[in-house]
Amino acid sequence: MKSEVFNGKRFFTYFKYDLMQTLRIHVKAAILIGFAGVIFYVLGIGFNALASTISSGHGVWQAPGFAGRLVVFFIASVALELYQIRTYGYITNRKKGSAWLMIPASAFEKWVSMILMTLIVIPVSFIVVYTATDCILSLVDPTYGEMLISNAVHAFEKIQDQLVLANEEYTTTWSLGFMIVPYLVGFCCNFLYFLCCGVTFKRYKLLYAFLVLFGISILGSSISAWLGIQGYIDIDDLAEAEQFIRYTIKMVTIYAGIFAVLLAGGIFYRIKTLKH
Amino acid sequence: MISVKDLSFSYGSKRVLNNITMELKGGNIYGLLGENGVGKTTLLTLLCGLKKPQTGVIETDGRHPFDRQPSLLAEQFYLPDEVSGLHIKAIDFGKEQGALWPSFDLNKYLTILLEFEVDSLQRMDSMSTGQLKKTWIAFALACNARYYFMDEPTNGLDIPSKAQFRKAIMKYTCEDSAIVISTHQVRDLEEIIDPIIILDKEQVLMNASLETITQKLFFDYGSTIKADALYLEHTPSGAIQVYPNTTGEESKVNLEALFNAVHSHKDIVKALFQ
Repeated sequence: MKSEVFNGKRFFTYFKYDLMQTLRIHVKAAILIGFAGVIFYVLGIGFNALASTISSGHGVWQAPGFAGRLVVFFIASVALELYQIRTYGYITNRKKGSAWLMIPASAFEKWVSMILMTLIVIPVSFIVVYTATDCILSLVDPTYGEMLISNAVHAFEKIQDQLVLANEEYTTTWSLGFMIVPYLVGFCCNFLYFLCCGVTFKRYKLLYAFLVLFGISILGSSISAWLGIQGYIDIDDLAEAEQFIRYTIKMVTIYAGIFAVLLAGGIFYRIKTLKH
Repeated sequence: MISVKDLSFSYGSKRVLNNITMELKGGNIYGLLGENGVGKTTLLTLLCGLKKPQTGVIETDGRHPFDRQPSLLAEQFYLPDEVSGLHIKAIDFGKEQGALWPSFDLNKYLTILLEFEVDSLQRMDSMSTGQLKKTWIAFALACNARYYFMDEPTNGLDIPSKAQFRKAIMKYTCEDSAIVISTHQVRDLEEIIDPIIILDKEQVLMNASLETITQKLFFDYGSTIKADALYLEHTPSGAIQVYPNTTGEESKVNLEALFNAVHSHKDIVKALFQ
């Protein structure tokens, strides 16, 4: 007798179906967002050529700088996070949601597939496209400079060097891994947050998502302020910048991790109890 | 078998179903009739597990529908009033979505589509309402489910399609399937539904087979008007009258007349069928 909670064959069948739906709609969107770097590059080239023509009469071929590219990558990442509201938002729709709920797979199987699509399939599609186009542009255009990721690593090393120069007591070299873990946890947390809002709210999903986020921010700030006033956070012990930053990153990572687990649990609960 | 016991359901303070008890057995096509807003769709969604009973119990072969166990979901199909058109060809829809139902038969799906005159290579989001509905009906029937819950399945279908639907239901459902069809358009389904469930505000006014109905009520198509008729409707060829069957004589049930008779004399009909 097959398990009603998880059955490998049934899960694989459902996952395949879900993957097809995701590829058909959401991966396309992720790929489109992944082309943000190329769009910015084309616009940047055009703008620089136009500006140089106006100022000196000679059009100059110059790719946009690192800072601009980094900002565009950040904006594209945020757009992809916000897009998670849409990926499974349809399950709150009476027509589409009813059909989805009636698919013969358990709530757990649907949840696992949903998490895999949201945290792996869609972001990986985006990263692959973004990195590939970034790599191609860096190879074909000498004015483009290094790839975004190499640039980011060098920038990170430079900041460290500056910190060492500015503060003699600052001797520790931060590993890139120490920075990547909080980034990944934060990424999971953000994606799950918008996914959770997408499957929870029936209307005005984005508006409610921001309102809740605003509420959480106010609550978090109030708690931090209260802890500081009450003396639970001993500022003297965190006087050194490195120690303070390390402590903050560690705590934020832990809280984000806990929040991500709670969000994943909330999404499962929503799937299990969703009614139409 | 689906067993419903003391089922109640409300939307906020508005009670829709109150202490409903009934059994739905395999091998029947149940016609669920009722006025707008009496809870037909609510009952269907409760039966298939899209809603949770607030009080009372629903059991489908001993399982609670709202638990939405995959084994039960694989044995049932809910066809809502409004269906969505996906950005995909009908044939691909059958291949992809059909894989999820263990008993799905792709050939049967394509055969029904052919009989419904729906092009399997057409994209679903470019189909007309009727074509889209027929595609979903074909898909539902190809799932070879044991329990079907269909909400207004003939809505949006043209006259030939309604006949095709009736034919398909008779031809392509398993003998032991229990099919519950909610409809306002009783004439469309008059020939295939039996037993009849008539819902009224909060209660089931009638749940009886056509045989029982004709034993208890007489449908008179003559022109002699009876004083004790529960319902009388003049027609171009005479009149349709419904009155208690005191002689045991058989008659052909007219569902519209039955529905109106039940509604205009709820207590009498309820007492007759208890």
